[in-house]
Amino acid sequence: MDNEYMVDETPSYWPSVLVAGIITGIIFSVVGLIGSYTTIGGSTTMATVSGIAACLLGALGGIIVNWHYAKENDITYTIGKGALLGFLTAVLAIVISTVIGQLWTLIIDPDLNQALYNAQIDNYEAQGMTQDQIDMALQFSPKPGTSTYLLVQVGMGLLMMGIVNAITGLIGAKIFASEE
Amino acid sequence: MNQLRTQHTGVYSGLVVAGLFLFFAALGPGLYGHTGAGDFGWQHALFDSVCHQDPDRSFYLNGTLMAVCARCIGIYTCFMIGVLIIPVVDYFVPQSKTVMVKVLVAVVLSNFIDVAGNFFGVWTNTLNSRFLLGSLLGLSAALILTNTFFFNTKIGVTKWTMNTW
Repeated sequence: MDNEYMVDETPSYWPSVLVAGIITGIIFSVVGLIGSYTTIGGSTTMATVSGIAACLLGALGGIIVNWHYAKENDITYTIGKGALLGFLTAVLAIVISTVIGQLWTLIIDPDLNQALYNAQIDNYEAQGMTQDQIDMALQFSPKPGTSTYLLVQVGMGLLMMGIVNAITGLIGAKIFASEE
Repeated sequence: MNQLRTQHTGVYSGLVVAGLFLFFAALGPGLYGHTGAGDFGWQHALFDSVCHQDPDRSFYLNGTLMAVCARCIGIYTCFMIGVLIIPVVDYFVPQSKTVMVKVLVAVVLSNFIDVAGNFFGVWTNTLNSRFLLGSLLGLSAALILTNTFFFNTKIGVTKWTMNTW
């Protein structure tokens, strides 16, 4: 019965990662879709605003997860754990936003990808890019809807969002889970 | 005599690497010889999810569009600088968490107000003003991590305390 006292009582962080990942993933998807439709509609101002929002909201995952974990359990923990929570939140958010994006283009608006691709080329031409430059740009942003596009989006998203949210996770742990 | 005590050195090292990577990647392909407006590289694809990358709101390096906008390059530049000077700040002017959180909140609000004012036509911000406000955000985000990896301890006081105890 002595073993009962050896149970690790540190609360699980997965509920917090789940909450923050779902919130960040859904918001990221919504802002991304707004950005796509405004790009297609030719409204560069709204596309820029949604881009700024995506930037801020994408980085918020690390803050949200640490706020939730620290406040729900009223605990302090190491800053490295904060970074881990931010990274895991980013991974979950990318998975969720990818699934939402795929479902949206499969069920709700199958023409979105082609329209977005055409709008991208129109934007490049409007910037005065030559055909060679447009081809080069399209190398790094393949045609939406293809498996290459999906892999690039998920890979780059995981790398970038992972790093950014690990950093905001450090900051979140410092604010919410460390002693003065 | 002052001495700098360290902890979480692995996390700090990772933060330095991440800060440097983000800064150099954000500069875009112009950093290593690509020239000509419109040249795209993996850096643009990398930052696509976290920055609008509007050419009208971005700086150019060697004639090539940077991978992020003026505000974001300010954030990444000064975040990297801030991370690198954390030990210096902790040694000479250690800051409390409360003060740094207030500074960070004030700077975030300043950026919001700047974006909102420009969006609603109250004023027109410039590349330089966006860069400046982004720089403040990056610097305050890094410096909120002061007193985390390094602590300024006075050797004389520590010895006296230990002997007394």
